[in-house]
Amino acid sequence: MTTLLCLLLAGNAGLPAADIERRTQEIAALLRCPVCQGASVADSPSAMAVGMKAEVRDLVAKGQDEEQILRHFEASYGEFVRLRPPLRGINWAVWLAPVLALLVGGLVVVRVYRRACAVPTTTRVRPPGRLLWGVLTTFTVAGLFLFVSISTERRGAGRALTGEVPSRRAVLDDALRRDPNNLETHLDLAQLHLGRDELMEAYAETEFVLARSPRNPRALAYQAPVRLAMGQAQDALKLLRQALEQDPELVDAWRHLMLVHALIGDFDKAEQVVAEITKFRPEQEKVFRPLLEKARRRVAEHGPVPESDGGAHRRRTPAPKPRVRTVAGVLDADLSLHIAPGATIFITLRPAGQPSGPPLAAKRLTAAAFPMAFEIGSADSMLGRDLPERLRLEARVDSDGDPITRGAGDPTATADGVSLGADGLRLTVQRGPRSVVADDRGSKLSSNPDGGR
Amino acid sequence: MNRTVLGTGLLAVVVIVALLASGLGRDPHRMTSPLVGRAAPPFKLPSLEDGREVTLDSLRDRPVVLNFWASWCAECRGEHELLNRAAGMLEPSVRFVGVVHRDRPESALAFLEAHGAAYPFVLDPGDRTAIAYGIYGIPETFFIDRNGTVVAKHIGPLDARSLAVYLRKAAGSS
Repeated sequence: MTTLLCLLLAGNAGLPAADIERRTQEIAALLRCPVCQGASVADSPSAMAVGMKAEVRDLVAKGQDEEQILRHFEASYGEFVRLRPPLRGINWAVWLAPVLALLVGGLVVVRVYRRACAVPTTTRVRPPGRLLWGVLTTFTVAGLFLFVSISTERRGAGRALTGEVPSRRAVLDDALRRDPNNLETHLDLAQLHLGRDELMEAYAETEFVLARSPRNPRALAYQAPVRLAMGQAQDALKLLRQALEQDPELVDAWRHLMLVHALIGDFDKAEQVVAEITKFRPEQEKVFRPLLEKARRRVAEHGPVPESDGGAHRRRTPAPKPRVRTVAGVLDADLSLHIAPGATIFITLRPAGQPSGPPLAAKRLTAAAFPMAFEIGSADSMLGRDLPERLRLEARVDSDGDPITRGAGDPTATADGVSLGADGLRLTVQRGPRSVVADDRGSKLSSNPDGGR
Repeated sequence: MNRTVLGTGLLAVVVIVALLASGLGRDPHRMTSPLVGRAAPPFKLPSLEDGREVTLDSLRDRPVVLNFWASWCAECRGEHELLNRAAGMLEPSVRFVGVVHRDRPESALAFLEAHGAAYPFVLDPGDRTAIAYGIYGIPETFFIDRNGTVVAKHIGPLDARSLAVYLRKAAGSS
């Protein structure tokens, strides 16, 4: 069948079918299979390799030579597709290095051997030239070692030698895959997008965080430059002031505050910001000053950033999401429990007075140092529904990490009748029926009599 | 002779250091396609639905998203919803084409009937188009600008954020 096919294909080039098949095999042996990358197209049983071999056969039949066919595949797959690196560019080093090494090694051996034969053993002394040679070699090798160490250090994660060096973006994407709700990762990503001027992406990340943690200072700070670009300078300033109220030492917020003032042409205020930050972070002056000068030049060239009147323009910008309502507080653990870091804690919300049944919202936390903060709200709602005003909050340390199974002895803390929006709750998980609940805002809470079920 | 040896040694060190300096700065994870920045390989493929021919030329003047996929590939099934939604929103200002890669037409059709298809799907007999685009595995997606130049290749399933970035690149580069 193959022969018949070859005979048909051989038409134009006039090659006998057997020759076509032989040439096809020879050329396929020089191509790397993209699927099983250690094997050649001739050897690989993969479907892609079969397709590539058919294409090689076509090209041979059309009368193309080896180099033309290799170049044809190189245009799609790159040089990688050639099993034998072509003699060009840096590849020369790969071909020449072994020959050179053999040559130099041979010369050294011959030289050492001749010297050893020529000098009588009794008179052999170490001439000062040899000492110099030894010292130089030692320094060169040490220098090379240092160079490699510094280079690998810079590549981070100690994985340089395995070739596993993901970009910052890849690291963050990977972290999000493992923990999609990690707000810090989303914020790092927002920061990365801002640096690349990808404003919509930065906006999306900050919105994600603000929906879950409406007062997060970094999220507020990173959304400000996006708002400025949307023509909402006053909103940007408001966000930055809120961010600094939450975290007065957040350098990013100070920097954006300076830039927003500068870019709308208010250089006096921008100068005040620089003066303010240098009071407690004097080293930041050399970071802030050049940025301010750059902003000054930009305003001089292009004029200040225009500000919309807040009406017509605002409607075109993405509508702010409805404010997410949460229940927040601090979770503590009875010292006798010895909860291991990394243990799973489930926080659930049910309607007030309902100790069982499917929860309205659930959140999985990983135990770290106690006391630890928690926040749960409509963003964690199981069905995306709004939460009722009065809720029953439960925190349970799960022994097996599976939310469905419930160990009889799982340490638990519950609070019934919690108001949606309460943010000063204190819960202490304990084993057994005596869960301690306190609310420093004075909400009416009842200790749960069946907390250990 | 000592000087010769010293010189040769130093030369070797310089060469090694230069090689390390160029190699250690690279990200070996990055898989670049030689097609990026070049004209997209033309294709003329039969439509999965009715066998009518779809060509790259007929899609010119608009950015094209060319997605190689199969119904048996879990990651392709995962990204289908995103691509379908994006196509529903952006067609016809952006053209989407799904190339069925190593799949039975009836399986591909059954999947698309169950999950919807907002854009055309084509068959690739003999994997010729897949080879021309340098496919390693699926899903792989190419973003072609309105002049027919490949602006990006994405290996693996797409997420909304990456899709937005690539689309902007494809829309803005011409």
